[in-house]
Amino acid sequence: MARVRSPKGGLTPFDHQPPLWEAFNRYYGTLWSDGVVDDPTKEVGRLRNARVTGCGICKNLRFATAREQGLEEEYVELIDDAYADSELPHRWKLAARLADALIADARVDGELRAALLAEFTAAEIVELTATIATAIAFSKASVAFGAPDEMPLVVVPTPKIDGDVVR
Amino acid sequence: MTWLREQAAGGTALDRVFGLRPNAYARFTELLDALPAGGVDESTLDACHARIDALLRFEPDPTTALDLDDAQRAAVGYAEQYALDPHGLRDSDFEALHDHFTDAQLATLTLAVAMYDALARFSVALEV
Repeated sequence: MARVRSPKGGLTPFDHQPPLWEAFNRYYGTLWSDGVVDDPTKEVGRLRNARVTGCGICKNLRFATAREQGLEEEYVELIDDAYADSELPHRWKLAARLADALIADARVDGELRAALLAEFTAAEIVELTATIATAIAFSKASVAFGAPDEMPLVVVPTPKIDGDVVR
Repeated sequence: MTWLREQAAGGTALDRVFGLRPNAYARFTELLDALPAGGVDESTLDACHARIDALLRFEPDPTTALDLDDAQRAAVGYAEQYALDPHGLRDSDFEALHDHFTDAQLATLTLAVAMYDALARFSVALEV
């Protein structure tokens, strides 16, 4: 039996609370679709978390605009524990490093701060941090609710301000 | 004090940092403000928020000084495990949570805990 049941006709337990679910969708969709950071960079941070946190749903989702803008599967495969020495672009490595820091204890050391400040504006750092922190926190819901460890790879629409959210 | 080189105008440190992305910050604030309407009493949500914030800041547990009932203690325990290691949650934990909360309330509690976790990590990372 599900740890937390979805309502009749609902897809997730969050469908019990439509106003809250809509508010979350608006927030997450704003981060993705009304932002200043390119989608592939944010997607690298999201996928790095998905792999570290072990969210079976999140790690097999691909946001469509990130793929369209260049985050092909050959790059996604590099977001493993050896990404620092991979051919991933510097900007994407920084997103993965920020994700690792946020997942661990959320401390950003001096070296990473300097690298982020050299690559991104303050507004971009805020958006990247908020997007990855939200992905981290929300992916835990799938884990907590007992989602399967694996699922087929699926390309889904990037979250929109008024659209459905995908983890 | 944040290590970012720019800040927005605002009355709080969070306003000045998250306010650099005003639309996202406004939607986040709306979400936090909406949580108490989700069927979990505000004092329970506040205790969960305080526990997660203290966890990420390596501060003592502020909820030990609170006069929490069994349901509130169960919620705080869930918040703690969720933030630290959700893989550690077991079916038995949810059976215990269901002694106090409905599925709809657990949906609210989980969304709240997730957003408190995100806010705490954001705040610690950017030294808000």
